[in-house]
Amino acid sequence: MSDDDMISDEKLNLLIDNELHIEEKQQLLTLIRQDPELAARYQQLRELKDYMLSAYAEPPQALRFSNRQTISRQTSNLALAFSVGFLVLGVAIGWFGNHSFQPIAETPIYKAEELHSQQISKDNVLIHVSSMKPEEVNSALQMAEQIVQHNPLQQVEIVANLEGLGILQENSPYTNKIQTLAKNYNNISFKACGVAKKVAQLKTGKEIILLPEAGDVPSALDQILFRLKHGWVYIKG
Amino acid sequence: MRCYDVFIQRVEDIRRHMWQLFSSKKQLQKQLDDRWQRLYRIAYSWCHEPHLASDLVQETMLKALKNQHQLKDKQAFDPWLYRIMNHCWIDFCRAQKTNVSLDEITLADTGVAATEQQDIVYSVRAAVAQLPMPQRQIITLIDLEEMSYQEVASILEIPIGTVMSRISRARKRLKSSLQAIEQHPDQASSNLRRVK
Repeated sequence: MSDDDMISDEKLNLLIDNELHIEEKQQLLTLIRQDPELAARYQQLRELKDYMLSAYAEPPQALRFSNRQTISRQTSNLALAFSVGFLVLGVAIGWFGNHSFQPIAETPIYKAEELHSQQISKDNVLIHVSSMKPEEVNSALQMAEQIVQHNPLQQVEIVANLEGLGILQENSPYTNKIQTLAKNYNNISFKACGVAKKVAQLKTGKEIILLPEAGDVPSALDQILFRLKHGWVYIKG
Repeated sequence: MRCYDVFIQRVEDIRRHMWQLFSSKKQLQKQLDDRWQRLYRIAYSWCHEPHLASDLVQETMLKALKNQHQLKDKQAFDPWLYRIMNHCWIDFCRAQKTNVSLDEITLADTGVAATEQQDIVYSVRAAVAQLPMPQRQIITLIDLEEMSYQEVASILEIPIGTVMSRISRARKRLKSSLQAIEQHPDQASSNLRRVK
């Protein structure tokens, strides 16, 4: 084959990636069948695609499911993926107000006092803070305080991740409020997401120091799933 | 409305919406699971750091849900989702001020004894990690997600001709890196198992 007739790698890539029209594809495949050197180049490029699929078929997972000892790894991953996705979707839909959802007759609507006495009084509450927006953070902290004021036996856990991790960091603008809550109510606890902490360290190149009132959990999402499983009420701050 | 009433209302809203979502649980479960895993795989192939990849996917899903009204064509849901993830990734790269190279992090953190198959996996991941980011993004979207050049051009907001030239350069470089690893497996092995 002369240089003029040389088939470029670009052309072979178009074939491999199914980007050629059927006629061009047939012509090129015919050339490949006739030319062992071209066939070898084509084969090498195809193998790269297979290698890529193989290399990322099972990427290492960052998150762990609480009960993975009793659930197979695959099921665990599916359950985790679904739960997390579902949780995020449910929360987001609740938050961003998709009005196409209509109330369901089977779901009772309680008045505040009624719901408190019948349900919330029995449930511990996890409040999830994922941003530093003052209205969200203040709302979360106020909620926590009002819940324990209504029922001192209830546990309230504030879990911070993503940008919300900032509320539990040293020099947080909410330091005073958090310290006051921790001092006045021993049933309010604060947990920082280990994943968010690690990402924040990668982003800033600095060690992330938490307020002394804040504890660590390996992952906020793991913690949320764990609490939900044990009957806690989940609230997005 | 008092804060506590708002809280109660939110509890009820979430319960109601979750109940409704559960009514089509099977369908929803499959969709979310598929998308989560696929996004995670691409995110991991870009950054090679499990925690960061997980964070990237979470951020992508939250932004997608927040901006769902912007999606006009439901057929274009997947490319739209990947475009959001690309923006999240660009934001992260811009914000990153550390000297730590993400490409050097935990390429071998599965903790499983090495086998020949795993050697190939590590070798390919290491070779991909050495690709310049624009080439890495293109080869992963095309090979792992089987996206067309047009879709990739749309996701990364670049001309289709650029996609063609970059995929070609990426594969050429990947082939050359893998051949080098094949010729010097011992040296490559020590690089591949470096855990930060």
